[in-house]
Amino acid sequence: MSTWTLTRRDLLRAAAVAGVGAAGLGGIEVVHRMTTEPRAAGKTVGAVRRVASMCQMCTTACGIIANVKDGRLLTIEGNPADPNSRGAVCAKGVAGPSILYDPSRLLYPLRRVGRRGEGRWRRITWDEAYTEIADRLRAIRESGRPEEFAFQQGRNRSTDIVARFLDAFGTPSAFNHRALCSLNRRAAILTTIGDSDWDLGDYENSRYILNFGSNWAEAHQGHIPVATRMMRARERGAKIVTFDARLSNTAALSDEWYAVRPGTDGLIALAISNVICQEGLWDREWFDRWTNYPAEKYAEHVRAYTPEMAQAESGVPAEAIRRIAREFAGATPRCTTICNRGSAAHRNGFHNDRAITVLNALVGNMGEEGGWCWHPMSAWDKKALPEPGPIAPKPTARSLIAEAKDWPLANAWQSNKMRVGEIVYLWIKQRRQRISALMTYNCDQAWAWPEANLVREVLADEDLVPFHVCLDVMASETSNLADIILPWTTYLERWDIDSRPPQGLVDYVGLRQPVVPPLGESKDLREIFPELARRIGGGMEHYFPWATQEEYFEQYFAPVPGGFGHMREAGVHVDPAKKPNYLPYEKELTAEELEGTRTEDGVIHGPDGAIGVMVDGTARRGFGTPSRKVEVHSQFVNDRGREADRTISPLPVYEPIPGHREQLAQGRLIMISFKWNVHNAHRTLQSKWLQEISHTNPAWLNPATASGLGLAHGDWIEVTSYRPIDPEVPRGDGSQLGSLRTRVHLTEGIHPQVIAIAHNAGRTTGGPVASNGRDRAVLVGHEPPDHGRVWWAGSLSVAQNDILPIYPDPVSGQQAYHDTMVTVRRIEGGA
Amino acid sequence: MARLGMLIDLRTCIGCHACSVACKAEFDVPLGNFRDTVKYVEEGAYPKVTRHFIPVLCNHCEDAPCLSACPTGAVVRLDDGQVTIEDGDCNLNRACMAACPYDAIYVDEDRGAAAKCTFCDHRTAEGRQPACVDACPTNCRVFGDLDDPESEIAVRAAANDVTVWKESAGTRPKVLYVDPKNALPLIEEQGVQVDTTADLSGEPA
Amino acid sequence: MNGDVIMLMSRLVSTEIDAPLREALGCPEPLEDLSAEFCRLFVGPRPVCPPYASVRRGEPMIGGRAERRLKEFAARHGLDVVVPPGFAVLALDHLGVELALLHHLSPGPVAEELLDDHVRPWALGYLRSLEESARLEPYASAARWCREEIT
Repeated sequence: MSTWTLTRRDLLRAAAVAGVGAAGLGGIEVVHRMTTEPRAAGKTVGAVRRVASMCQMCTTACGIIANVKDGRLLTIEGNPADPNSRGAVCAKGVAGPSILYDPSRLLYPLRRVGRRGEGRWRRITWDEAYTEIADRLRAIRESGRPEEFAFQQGRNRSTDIVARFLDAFGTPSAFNHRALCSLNRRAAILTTIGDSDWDLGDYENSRYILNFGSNWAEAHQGHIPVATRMMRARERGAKIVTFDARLSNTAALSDEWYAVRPGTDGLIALAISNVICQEGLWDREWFDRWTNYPAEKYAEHVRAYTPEMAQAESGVPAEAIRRIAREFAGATPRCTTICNRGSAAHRNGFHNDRAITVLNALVGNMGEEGGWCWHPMSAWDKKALPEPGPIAPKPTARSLIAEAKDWPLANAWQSNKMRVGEIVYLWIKQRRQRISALMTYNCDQAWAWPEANLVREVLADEDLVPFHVCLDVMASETSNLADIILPWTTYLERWDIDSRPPQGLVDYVGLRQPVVPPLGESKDLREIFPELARRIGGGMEHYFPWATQEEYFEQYFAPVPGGFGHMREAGVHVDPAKKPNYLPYEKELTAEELEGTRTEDGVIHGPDGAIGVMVDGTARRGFGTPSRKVEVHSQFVNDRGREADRTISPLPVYEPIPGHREQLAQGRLIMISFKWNVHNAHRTLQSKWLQEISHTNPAWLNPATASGLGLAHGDWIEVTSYRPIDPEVPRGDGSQLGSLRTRVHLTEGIHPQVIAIAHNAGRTTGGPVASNGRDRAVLVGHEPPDHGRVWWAGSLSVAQNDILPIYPDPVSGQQAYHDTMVTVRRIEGGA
Repeated sequence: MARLGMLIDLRTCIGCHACSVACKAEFDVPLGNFRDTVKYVEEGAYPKVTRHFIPVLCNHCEDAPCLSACPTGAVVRLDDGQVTIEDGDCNLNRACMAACPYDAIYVDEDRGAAAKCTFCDHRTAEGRQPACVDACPTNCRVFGDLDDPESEIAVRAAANDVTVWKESAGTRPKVLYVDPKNALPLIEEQGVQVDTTADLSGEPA
Repeated sequence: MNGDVIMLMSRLVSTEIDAPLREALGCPEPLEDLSAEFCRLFVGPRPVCPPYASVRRGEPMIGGRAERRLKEFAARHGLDVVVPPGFAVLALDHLGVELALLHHLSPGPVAEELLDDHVRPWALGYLRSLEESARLEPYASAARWCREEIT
């Protein structure tokens, strides 16, 4: 507090001098309406306007309809025209208004005052912000080292504008979160079928679904579209079997749940495969025709993976494995697997997902109705709807971090940007690549990344990161460490072209459009980037010729019947002539397609590479792999591994997580994380409606485990984590990493060797709601009684990511989220 | 005149809470009060354990104890059987709250009146579904006229074993459940309002 | 009620102190520190005292019931407000707006209605919090004088 105090006399004199009373300085003015008839109380004016758009509370991007009255968003419902979500949205989707009108939103450009991270800010104008950022970026670009401008994004749904700006700038330093998310699943599927990196089981038409650790009822990139189809399948009598270390809501919705030890999903799939081979339950004919490996030899390969071995490792009874194998094979072709981070986010996740994928080939359900399916397009049809030109060329500068060459499969498929997000800040700290400016977009790496404390340390260091701009909707641990904060629009105030891998197996395209004008002074990238490009100059501006965002999308959507106008009305477009992507590999090549091709070892090569394969004397499209068949045996990954000095088995194998067996024998536990259905990382944690439902994250422990440790429900514990014992992992020396203090939640719904902590809590900054009131800076003005409505303030809320080691799968770089070994000890009172 | 009711098929409720939030948005339900929510209950012992999801709301009972208990006539039954509360007639004596076996009624401090689920009579009057029914992604809720044998709710009620929450309270609820796993008895002691004292505190002792 | 105090407070919660006002008030602190204090108190990130009735009353969103009720009040009396560009005002339940309306309507029965139904129920507690939370003058004293004016 300053020593100077304002007396009432000072104040009155000042008011008089400044003339504020007479609005001389410009104050809020009250005017009388021109209308002569005063309106009756309680009557609102105007009708409800229904605006079709797309959700982005998570990345499932369901179609929505926003109900807007007098410029205010009232409610959100699903858009029935969306072929993926078919009119359904989840709690997060319905909660959209609580994000849009959240009182803790970032709504003005801010520049830090004082030290970085000190938390003192002042408002600046957009012009000031643009000038400072453009000056910085121009200098980097003109220095000839454009890679020193790094861009960190979270789950980006505006890929066109981001790539356009970064390419026009010339920086390859585009860091994404894929390795923290879906990298292994994508790599495994690409390796095996080539056509796609994303399986889309035809769940609705399936009769038997084997779920390896996917939590589609709560999370998953296909969340509601998958969950609704699963429920339809259940109504028709389909059986769902789930393997998961924890009783997720998905596990609870399954007909059978098996608690598995983390990291053994692939072994279970191999054991099921073994039974199918041994008992002749396979579709041997299909396997021999459509894969590149003989069924007999695969049977030989999986012979070692017996149900008994799987039982010993995973805990799933051998008899159950045998029965499930018979039931699964018996349902073919109307059977499928589903998997995601539960199987993939492991040190051995690439092989887990390979084994699961090949299990489908074994029963010949690939591409069949009700079977294991996929679609070649992960988004809209980019040939029919090309990005409006001019398109900037790809950067020629190199980024050591983005290339992540230590991980042979991280960027093995160049069109699929995978990268190894969890090592970015470690490598910046190790000065492997110099960063002169960092822009963070829709990402809270300082909270959400493994070893988030290391990220915070790097972001706080002005030598390592001399300039940091953060663009987000909400204040976050990351925005706290920025030099300039730019207020980003929510998904309800901006434009996008978007669509997701189509669960209905027919591609579609959607429009995200502002349902209300941007609040405060928030802006989207689509406005910010063109302006920065103009100010940076040097030719960048050439790639942003559109006067308005509407003009750009008018051009983008011109090929759609009815064009942009139709998209604004309907929100989505599906070509009625397109059919579901069943059995695409069977398609016979036409004489026209075969013209000028040559056939070598059965593979048909055109001028731009392989286009098909000879099968039983017929030229067929086949799969998108080098052999044009399902690559049960992948020479490609084996070769890529060798180039990086890593051994990658060409066949799916089970590699136990190094160190697990020994440490489990010592009584250590495996720590896993999970997500509740009402949350999606940091962007939902500020919603009071969602926080009211889920806001706390005590550690789940099995009562048997707790009793062995002398723990009761509610006891305070200290959880201490260890780095992997793994020479193929950076700093994999098994040393102690960090500790957190939390409390015990006893549940029968968890494997006894596992401790599970939800990552939907534990914010330390970002407002009183997101942090359960632990953000002390905020609480003063909200103290009871007024703050009393947030009844959960003060409940347990613990950040887990600080004690998760950076742990990339040596094959791909996927972060092994579920392999952390910990010790647990009781502490008195948590102090 | 219809006899409006709701059928909730617990086989396809995924516990997503879209209904809970849709209700909050529709009525601006204050934090800490609930007209609709989903109860999660675990049952069994490891490894044979599951979790049930049970959406709950006012049952718009045929024998509504709240209606009989209200001394000011603020709790009324509408033509189609919905039980609602007239703000203006409520003097906050809380008799209805004490009488309701489902803890479905709360005090809206701002409005100075007791409040609860209305079966969205303002929406159904316009031919729309209640907000929770519209919001349900799996269509596990069906709303309609129980007396119309052609209605989906009547058809589904006839085709399935249906049960009600706290049958022993004798209130004859019009919210029906398809509950093959017999989950409802597990929330016999609970109400619609959420226990806001159940969280573990994050404050060190 | 002193209109100057009301309007000064309305301005202080709505936008930063600029050079002329700083001079008039005789503030010794540099403008940047005053701007940082404005952000810390009212705008954020993590504002200590967001000046909205809805926030103070624990509503989930800015511009909820509190704003709707104020809009009804303004409509009933044929009033509208014009917020100058650059003011950090997102909804009508902002203290700056309520005080501007109060100043405009005072003295009179409509001002009393506004005070009783809209301002006092939250602003008295709010101004006390602001007085306690402000680290720099003139925010603390202005909050105190304003509270005394509307009590």
